[in-house]
Amino acid sequence: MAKKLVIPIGPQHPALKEPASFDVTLQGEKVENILVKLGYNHRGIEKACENKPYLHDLYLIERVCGICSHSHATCFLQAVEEIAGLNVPMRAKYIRSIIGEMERIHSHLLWLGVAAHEIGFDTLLMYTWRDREIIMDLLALLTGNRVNYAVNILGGVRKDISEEEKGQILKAMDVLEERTKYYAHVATEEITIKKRLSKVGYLSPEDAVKMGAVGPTGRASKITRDIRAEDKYAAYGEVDFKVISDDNCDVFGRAVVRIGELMESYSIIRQLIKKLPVTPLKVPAPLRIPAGEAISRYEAPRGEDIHYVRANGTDKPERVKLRAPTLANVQSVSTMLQKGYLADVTIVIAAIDPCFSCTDRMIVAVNGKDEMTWKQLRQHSIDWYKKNRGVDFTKVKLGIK
Amino acid sequence: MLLALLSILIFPGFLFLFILALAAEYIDRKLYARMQTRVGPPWFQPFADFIKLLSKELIIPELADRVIFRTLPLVACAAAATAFLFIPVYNAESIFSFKGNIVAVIYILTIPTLTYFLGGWYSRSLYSLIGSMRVLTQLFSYEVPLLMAVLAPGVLASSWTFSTVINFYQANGFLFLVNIISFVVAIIAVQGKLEKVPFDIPEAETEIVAGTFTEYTGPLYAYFRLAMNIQTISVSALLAAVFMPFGYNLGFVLGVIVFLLKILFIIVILAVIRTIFARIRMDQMVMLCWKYLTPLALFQIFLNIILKAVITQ
Amino acid sequence: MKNIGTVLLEALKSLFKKPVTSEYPLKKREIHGSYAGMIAFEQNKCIGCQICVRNCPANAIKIPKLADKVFGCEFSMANCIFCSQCVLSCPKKALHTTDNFELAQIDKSKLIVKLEELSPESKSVIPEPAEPKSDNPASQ
Repeated sequence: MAKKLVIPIGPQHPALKEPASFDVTLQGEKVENILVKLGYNHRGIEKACENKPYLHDLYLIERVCGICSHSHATCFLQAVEEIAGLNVPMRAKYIRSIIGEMERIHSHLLWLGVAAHEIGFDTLLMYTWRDREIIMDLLALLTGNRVNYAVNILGGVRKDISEEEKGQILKAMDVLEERTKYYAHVATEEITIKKRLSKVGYLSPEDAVKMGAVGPTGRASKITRDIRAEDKYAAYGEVDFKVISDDNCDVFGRAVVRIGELMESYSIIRQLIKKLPVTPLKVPAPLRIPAGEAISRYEAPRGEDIHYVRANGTDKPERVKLRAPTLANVQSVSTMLQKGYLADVTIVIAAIDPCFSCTDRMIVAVNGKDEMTWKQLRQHSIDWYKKNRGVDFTKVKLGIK
Repeated sequence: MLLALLSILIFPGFLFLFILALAAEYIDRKLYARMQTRVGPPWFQPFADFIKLLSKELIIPELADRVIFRTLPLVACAAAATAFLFIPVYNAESIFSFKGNIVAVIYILTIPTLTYFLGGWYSRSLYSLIGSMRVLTQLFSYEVPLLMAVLAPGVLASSWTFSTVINFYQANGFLFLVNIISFVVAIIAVQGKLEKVPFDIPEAETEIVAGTFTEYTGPLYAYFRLAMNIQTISVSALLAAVFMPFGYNLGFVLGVIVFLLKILFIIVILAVIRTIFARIRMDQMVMLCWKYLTPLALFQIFLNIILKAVITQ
Repeated sequence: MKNIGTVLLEALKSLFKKPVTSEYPLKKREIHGSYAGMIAFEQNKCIGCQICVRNCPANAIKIPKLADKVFGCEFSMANCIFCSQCVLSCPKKALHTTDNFELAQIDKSKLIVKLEELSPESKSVIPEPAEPKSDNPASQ
């Protein structure tokens, strides 16, 4: 067993739902080193945003991530609204927050199921995903869609919440709260889960700061930072909530934080529904956004989401930059896995709730030797695929007719 | 001669075993699904899966040893089925009976596990390699408690032959209930032998794809799956004979029904265990087997020795 | 010991409950009326302003002129991302969403639907919107 093995986890692997690659160097069952490789799913979204008007960008940005679609859309819009100087009405802000919290609930329930599946506990996966249907149905009822809600528009929201829908939301929150209490009991008491989660993937608070961990990953390592509490965007200034943190610093702590956040989300939604003010839903928004730039931060279910937008007075942005939370968290994976077991690799990766296709961005080194213009880069990629993969992209027809 | 051939091929031989094995898979999957509030597969699903896998393309890895790679699934099937022939079904005598056949059955039942190891080893794939290492590690941890637990009832009956053990307990009423500790130990160890949650470490899907079976496709994989199902039946029959030694003098029809009920009971227990636990790690599995199961099985053997001294006095 | 098998009770209870999953193509679940599925088009309301075409982020909709002041609607289900921006943009409310979500086709050409001239067969594929519109002669 002394021989070292390098096991590839990914880009295609049953444990990973998205393409990313981890080369795990093994000594027996123990992990000696782990190499994270990203970039299998670069979609060029930032560049595409520059070529489309803001109205189209909104829907494109919403598709950065399947789970936190509302987070990205809201984050982008907050930046654009700041540049344009739009005063979003309170009711719209409330509705944005309600949908955002619902998204957090559905994301965290999804994570709980995925984490259970990674440690072979499929029963918990089936139970949590069954209850996730409640919130998915609620979102479909409120917005018309189960994932890409398209509820935001520039200057407000598109759909209102009626009295009848308020009742349905509150009823669903009661059911979900009771179920979440049960899951909290199972996840923190069940011996096989505890054995698999506690003291696995340890990330000390110092390392968490050094690696820039955000969101539940950071909060499980005693970093009590939450953009909802710090920045108080949307309607978060008007509600009381605790920033959940945990001092276990391991995967178990991350599970505890997420379950705690679920409970907080139910309370936030109840408060928001109760206080929902009566104002118009939107303010008229201009097609051309005046020149300017803005950075917007948003607490997505996976952590801090940052969008930067620079406008130049036309109807298209000059530059859009987005940093998805996974990019901040994925660095810490190799630290977490030091002295771990092979069996822990997938659960530790899953514990940061990775979303690799949101993460992949391209960077061109400005002062490096390989500096390329956009055209050269495009030509390079066409040549590379022709040479290495036998695909001739010049013959592939783009555009829709 | 003809009768012997019939009993090997049809009842209680291969055909009976084949149907039982598929039924066992169906019951396991259906219960698993229903406990997770899913609908679950229809009754013919295991058979349909078997036929489907048989008709699929067979891909053998370039570096694998072709002969061994092809032979192993059949060896696994044959070994699991052979074990069943030594286990009594409706009367205390099995088809082929000899002295000390409990020990023989346990050892024959080890052969499928070894073929899983060899199958993974000869696949020459990284995932298979790790899977086969895990199969072997797991074998060394559950085999000892399993062996001790299954032999413990025989200590009381002063024999390791099925017919003697069964006749001894049938003559002594509810005496078989003293073996409850070793029954629990055996059930847990069997869960490890059948590689089911919480001990599905060798084929942990989310860690090493499919473990030893990663490179097996089509018909060969179908035979491995069949071997696993036959093994389930054989092990359940073994536990039924050793720990539930009653209902073996009821005649053919009633005897078979009682036998099936006993097997159903054990399969249900195995399915429930598989539903309610998470997969544990290899080191935790070894720890569990050597720290808790082995002492428990030892305790049962000592208890039986003392009991035996009390009874014979 | 209390911590071993905490879901045992729930699992055993589930054995006697109705399953949550369903055999999908055989049993369909109810979809809420506000679901943003297939787009429906009312020809008599359309004024051919082309705002929906311009605002569509996926180039999924086209409003060709059929005759004087009569406009058709060519809709590509393959391109549509179901954001219902066209419904929002339409100044005359000639477009609305339906709860039809079973839009997959084996034949690629069937993905482009001409909403104004639906033949009786394809009508079964794209049913009428959830609320009956008997006073609507356009969507024939």
